[in-house]
Amino acid sequence: MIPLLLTAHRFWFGGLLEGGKAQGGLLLGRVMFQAIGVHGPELTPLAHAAANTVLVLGAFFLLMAGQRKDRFAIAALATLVLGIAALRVVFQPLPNVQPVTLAALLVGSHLGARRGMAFALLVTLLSNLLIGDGWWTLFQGIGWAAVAVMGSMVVFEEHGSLSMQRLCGVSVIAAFVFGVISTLSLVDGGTTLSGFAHVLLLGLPFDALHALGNLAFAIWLGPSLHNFLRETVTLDDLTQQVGDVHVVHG
Amino acid sequence: MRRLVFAVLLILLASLPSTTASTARPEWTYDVGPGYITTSPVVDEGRVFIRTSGFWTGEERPQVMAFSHEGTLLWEHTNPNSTQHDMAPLMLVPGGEGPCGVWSDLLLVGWADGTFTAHHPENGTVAWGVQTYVDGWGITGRSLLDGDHVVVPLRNGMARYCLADGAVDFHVELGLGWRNGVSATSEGFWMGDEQGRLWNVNKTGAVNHSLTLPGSLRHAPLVIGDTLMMHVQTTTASELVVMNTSTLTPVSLASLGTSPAVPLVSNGGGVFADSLQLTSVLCSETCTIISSLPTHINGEMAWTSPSVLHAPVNTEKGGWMVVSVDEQGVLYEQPLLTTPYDGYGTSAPVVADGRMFLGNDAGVLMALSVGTTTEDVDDSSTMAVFGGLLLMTSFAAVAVLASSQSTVAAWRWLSVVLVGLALVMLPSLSTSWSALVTPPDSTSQQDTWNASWPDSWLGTQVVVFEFGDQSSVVGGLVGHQTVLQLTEAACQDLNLSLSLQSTAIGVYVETINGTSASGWEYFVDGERGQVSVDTAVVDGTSVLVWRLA
Repeated sequence: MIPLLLTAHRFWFGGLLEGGKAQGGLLLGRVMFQAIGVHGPELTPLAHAAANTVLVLGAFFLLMAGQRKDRFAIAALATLVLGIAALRVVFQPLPNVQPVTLAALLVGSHLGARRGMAFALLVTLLSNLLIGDGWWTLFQGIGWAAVAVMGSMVVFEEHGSLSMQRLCGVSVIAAFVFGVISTLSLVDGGTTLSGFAHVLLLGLPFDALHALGNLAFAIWLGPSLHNFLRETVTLDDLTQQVGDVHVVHG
Repeated sequence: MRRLVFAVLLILLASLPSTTASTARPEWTYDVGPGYITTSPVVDEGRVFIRTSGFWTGEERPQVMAFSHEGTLLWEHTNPNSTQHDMAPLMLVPGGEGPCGVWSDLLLVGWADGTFTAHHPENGTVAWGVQTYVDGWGITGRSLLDGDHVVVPLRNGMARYCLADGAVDFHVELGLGWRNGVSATSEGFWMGDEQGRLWNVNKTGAVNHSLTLPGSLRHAPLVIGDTLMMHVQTTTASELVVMNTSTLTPVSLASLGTSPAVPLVSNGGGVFADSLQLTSVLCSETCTIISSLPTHINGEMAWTSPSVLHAPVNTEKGGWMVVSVDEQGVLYEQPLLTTPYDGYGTSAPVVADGRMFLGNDAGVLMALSVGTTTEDVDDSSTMAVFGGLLLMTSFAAVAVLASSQSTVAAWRWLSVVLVGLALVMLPSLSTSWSALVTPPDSTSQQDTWNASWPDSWLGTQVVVFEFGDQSSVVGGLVGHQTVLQLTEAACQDLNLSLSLQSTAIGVYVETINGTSASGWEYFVDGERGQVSVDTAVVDGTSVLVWRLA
């Protein structure tokens, strides 16, 4: 039987994680789950390093697998990874107020699914190194990577400008998609479908807060992030075109 | 778009007043420190006395404190040796004289370390004291004044002491008890025990009768004419038992909820309470249940006027249930009395000098002006008013931004306000949601009982620590209200070390006897714990299992 109220990593990402140890818990005073290890297996240092290496390598191959390897895009992506990871750490005391989701959506939309997924994995790894790393990192990374893929399938620009309604709508849906995927970290051999559904149900208020936070980030950061990424893509295209010209003339 | 913003703001503003709570504003308060107030304050014409209780493991110890009615601390007395829950109610005795001597005004205090002390109410100094038997704990029940003597319920029996000097008049060994008070009839003294025996002891200290009850008796029997009424804790629930003192045959009147409260004598009957309901019983030739109200009361109750009783609701939300009782024994629930310090509680309030004095597990003594406690309740706490003003100001700022063509800025600030509001509401929202979607716990001690455990543990709290292949078990524990309290008591009994971590969201058990492995999980009556150990509530018959994750 899966524990009922135990998805601390879903409800309060990193807020309860100290020294790399998973403190089972829920939220703010009244509800704390008494268990270490309810987030899945507690990894040995070696397994931990291996899991992180897999994620880093995954991100690396996602970045390198694309045909366009322009330095502008790579530099912009690196800057975004650092900035969003830092922002996540700053917002970590506020449960489920997550800047990463919106950023993953827009990066996926502008730079494509591969780079979006790489971005999601790197931000998750980097920020979790600071606020708490463990089995859940894998699922958070996959969750945000899925959000980036969602973003890659949506065109947020309409008539040459950002469609806020579309961005807000997708960012709300993304919160719930991420909630479902990150909760998968709690699944073990004894988990029943109804038990999992119950955990999802219990997490609804937290997912709703995640969605509300996404709306706030969309309103505050959406236009700026959109412009930054659009310029990056434009520069990327220009560089590619100049490179092509050099090749033709050479 | 601006109109939409305005509409949203207007709707939210209109909903503001309905979010405030009815809370009584104390005239004064005093935080007694780390202990609980688990028994009723007692008052004389100028002072109010309280005692603190708890399971003490650090430097802190229980105290008796005296205050003026205006809230000035007059004195405090600390018992350095008492570490278990001190549940024996305080007793004020006016000065007097009798065959055994002369005594001044006294404040009588029974302690969990087995001492029974008589204090001078004016300064707290000890007039006399006696040491009694201790088995885990000592005195936890209500004593009885008997002329120039006081009859004290001991852990293993009953004793009568002279009020003048504490000289022992008689001492009789009976069963082991907890919170078991003494009553008197013409047949002598009556007291129950944990093993389900009802004892009748005559005035010379000899046992007249020993009768079998269906469970543990944790209060002084109610005396209604020649009838005794007892609310007995059974293994899984409780039984309301009546007994005529001449026929000496206990008869079960009803099966009720777990963890019976200390009942009250009413006009021709009694009022009983437990974890499920408040029940009114009227006795003439026979006793009949008249009325009941759903609630959760496990401690003391008190008449605050001839027809109104107050009882602390022993839940996380707490508050004091206010009930008026008519002459036919019908219960009428009044609005709940709430305070800024509501929470778990077992202590009845007391009214004196135009004030109601009350406290609970929050450990804050409060004095409420009687005129404002039930009728003229203050409609908002300071925090609620401040929060409301902040919210209205924020919405007003958003509205101004929207009306001055700064629609983007208006949306931005509205989003911040809404996220802030959601963050503030989230704890209570998630707790309520969790309660709504989680099916109620239907397990009981019977479901988790291990046949190898001694029968004497039935009806008490049992704790199991599973260390891989080995396990340690202790039972017979009583009176612990949270998983943390019960765990600490069990560790002390089993001589196991306990390492705790205090976090922003509650207390976390790190290691038990040095073992942490992948962490500890707890199960109460077979159900996995869902909240922090300091907030998880246990019943009087809970089986708590600690298991490695």
